[in-house]
Amino acid sequence: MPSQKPTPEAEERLSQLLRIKRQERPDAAFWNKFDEELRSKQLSALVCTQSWYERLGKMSLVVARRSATATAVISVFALGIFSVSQSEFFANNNTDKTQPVLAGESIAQDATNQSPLFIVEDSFIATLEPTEPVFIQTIDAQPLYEIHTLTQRASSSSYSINAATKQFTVGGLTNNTSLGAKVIRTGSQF
Amino acid sequence: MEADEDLLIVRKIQAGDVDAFDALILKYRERVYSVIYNLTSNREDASDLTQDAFIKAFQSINRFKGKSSFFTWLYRIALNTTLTHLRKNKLRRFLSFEKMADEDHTAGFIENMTSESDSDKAALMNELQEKLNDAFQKLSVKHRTVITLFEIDGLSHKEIADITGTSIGTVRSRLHYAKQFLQGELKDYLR
Repeated sequence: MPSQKPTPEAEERLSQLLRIKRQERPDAAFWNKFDEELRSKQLSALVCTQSWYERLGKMSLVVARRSATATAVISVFALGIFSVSQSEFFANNNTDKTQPVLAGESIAQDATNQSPLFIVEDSFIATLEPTEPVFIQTIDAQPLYEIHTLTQRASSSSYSINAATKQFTVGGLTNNTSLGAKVIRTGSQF
Repeated sequence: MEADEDLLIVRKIQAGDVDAFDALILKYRERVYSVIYNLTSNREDASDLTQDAFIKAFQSINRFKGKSSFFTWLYRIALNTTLTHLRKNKLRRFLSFEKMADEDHTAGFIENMTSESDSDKAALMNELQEKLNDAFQKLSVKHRTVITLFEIDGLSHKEIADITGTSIGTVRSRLHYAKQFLQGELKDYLR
């Protein structure tokens, strides 16, 4: 960059010199030709014909630009719905495939998908703290399991217990009634 | 007011009166051409680019909402068209100059520089034109744009800022640099 600082006189002189460039002007013949060419281009622009693939390409571009927000919103919704449906699917499938068979499961398998789910927690009497409420009965020193009925909601992580505790032993149900539901087990015993 | 007149014409074109666009061409073609010519220093390119700018303006006239003046909008189109052209043709540039119109101002300036015969004055004029255009082309496009719009087209800092989409401070700074540069390049003619 030039280091010299321009004085007002030098600036004025430069402006005068640059004004010479204003005189670089085309003549009338140039403008006649210019107008003719421009008119022709203007008419071409008015009746511009494009091939179908050019029009399709341009149209797609316009549609893509205009619908970008809507597409993004729909995609997010779709992704959300898909995630939720997938997680429920996995929750059900995991129960069916990865858990070992539990006593009384043959009864539970008869239940339909709409049946309530049960969660079973194993608990040996021996491991219970003396202060815990005694709601598990000992039958011939067999381990007992406590069962809670669960209601499945939209999300796999959201369950609520809506039934009273039932009890059964490893060998079978204590009250000889059908569970009438699928059984999901937790705990190291299974 | 000029901007209001332009807007009326634009509204006519938008309503379907395409012939009304001729009035805008006639009004601005010389100024637009002059700006593009001083940016390219090539009269053929300047002619084509001016036509292209008007065609683009014509094709997008329905998108003109009147937020800026038509003149600012048209200049922006002309500048963008020219800048795209200059970027594309960076490596194959050549200059072709416009004829100098005989005017008192030019004659007076040359008169001050030499007291030689008319033929010498004509030669000096040609030399000066070449030097001026060479010096212009040595400037970066953004500096060339600002000095062209200010010194040759006579626009204000504010108008240039609107057209180039920069601040008035940026326009002033670019103008200052461009003038310093040109003073260095043309010092032989500034004594």
